[in-house]
Amino acid sequence: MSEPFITSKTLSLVYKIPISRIKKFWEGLREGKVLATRCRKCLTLRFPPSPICPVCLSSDIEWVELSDEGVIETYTRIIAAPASFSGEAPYTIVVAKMKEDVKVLAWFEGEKVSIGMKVRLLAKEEHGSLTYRFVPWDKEGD
Amino acid sequence: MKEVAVIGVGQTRFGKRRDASLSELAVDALKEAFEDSKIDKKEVKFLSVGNFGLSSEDVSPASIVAEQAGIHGAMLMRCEAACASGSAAFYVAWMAVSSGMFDIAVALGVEKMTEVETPTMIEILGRAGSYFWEFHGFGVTFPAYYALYATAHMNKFGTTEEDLALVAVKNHKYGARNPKAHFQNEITVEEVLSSRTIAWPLKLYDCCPISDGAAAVVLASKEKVKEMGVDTPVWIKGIGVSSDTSTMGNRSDFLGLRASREAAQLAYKMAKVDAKEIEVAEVHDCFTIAEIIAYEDLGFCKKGEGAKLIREGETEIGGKIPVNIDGGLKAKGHPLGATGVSMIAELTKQLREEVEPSRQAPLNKYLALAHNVGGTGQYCYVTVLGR
Repeated sequence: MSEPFITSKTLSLVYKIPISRIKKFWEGLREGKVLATRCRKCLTLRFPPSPICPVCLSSDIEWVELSDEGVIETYTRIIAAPASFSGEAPYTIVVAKMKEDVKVLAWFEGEKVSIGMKVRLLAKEEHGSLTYRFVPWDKEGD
Repeated sequence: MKEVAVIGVGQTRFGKRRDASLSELAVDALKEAFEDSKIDKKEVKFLSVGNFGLSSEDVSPASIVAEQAGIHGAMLMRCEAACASGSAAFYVAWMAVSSGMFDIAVALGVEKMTEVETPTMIEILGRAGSYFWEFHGFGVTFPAYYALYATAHMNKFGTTEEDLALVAVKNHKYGARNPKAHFQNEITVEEVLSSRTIAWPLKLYDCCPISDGAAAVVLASKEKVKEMGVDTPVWIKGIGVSSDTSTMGNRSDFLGLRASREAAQLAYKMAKVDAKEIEVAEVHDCFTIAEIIAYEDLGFCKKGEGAKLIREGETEIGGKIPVNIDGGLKAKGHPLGATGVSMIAELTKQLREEVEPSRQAPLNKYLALAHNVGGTGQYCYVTVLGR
């Protein structure tokens, strides 16, 4: 029993997202580094990087490399993927607290995952695009 | 600040409503609310429309809805706060009347989610977080966001997958008694546990469905209530709103929602009531874990004891605090923009003792609470209603 309907015209939406103010982040990934921002005025460290400090709104910021050492605070394994990730599932998302006390959300590549587990953060290039991943601490980057 | 009452409510059946467009559902709900409140639609000069959008064809639906409902020359707007868009519409309508600018205001919530394919809807919902830092590179879905909270809660407090399942079972039990619910069937713990995994530890039956639907409420000032001689006005005694970060990395922990706690405190303070006095509640159970966390954030139990509350049946009718006895988002359905308004409509009927007798909460103080979360606690609205 299908109800009658009319198919709408197609609207294709692709956004060109400006990254001028955070281009150092992408340059950092290319050099194998994951960068955060630190406000020179109030010393707040931010990840994701923020070109304006959300604490004091100063734009006097510097780029600093995060250590690669984190501890898993929580995680999930995605089975039902969104349309644009349909070929990639299943994949594991973790939020890890880094040594510097900022948290990073990224994919985790490894067999076993648990809260409190030590993980390594790696910058990497994948299918021609730059990204970052967690791997088990005892695994070196490829 | 003027006192404001809910004087009329309307709601369509939630579900896969392929029989009606967004504006048709909206007008169905508005018509019912106008009849219930006995106002003339010519009196409506303020209409806020809670609608998340993107999943249906009209990008600016407020004027289309108003035209079809016969509303002219009004303040019209669409309100967006992800899954709390309906509460955003309710909040601005409350402000319109409490400020003295309008004697009457109408808040409508409406969403059509089944006009696009399911993977597209999953994509749209996933983008309601931080697109750039969480969706673009990592494809975080909406269930996955709550799964992050579930994993942490289970690890810290020993909450189990069975506990989560109990929430779904309870809400289906009451959905089965609500003729406007999307799902009107009871389910078992075994069925929940054996349903397919969506984002571990959440399974299909831990998740609210993708639904279409609309709800509307008519608000009036105390003067207008007197002038109209309204029989059973339901007063907005307290209302609180708060927010939290868009990115998950900037959350302090994954054990509860800060915005919920803050909004609840504001609402309790304004209403001058304690959590223990609430006799029926609608809480945001987009996923089963969200209801358990809400018990704790709203003060229905201590932190970490949410699972105990559901295990002991305290949130069923006859328990300490009946929660989501219309089925909740889980069984009634969650047409995003409609949900917050539907919560107010349901509680108004509970307080007027007009719901189906099998799901009427026993009332003594006549105090109810609505809790509506947008995203994963990016937005939160809490409202205390009373007779």
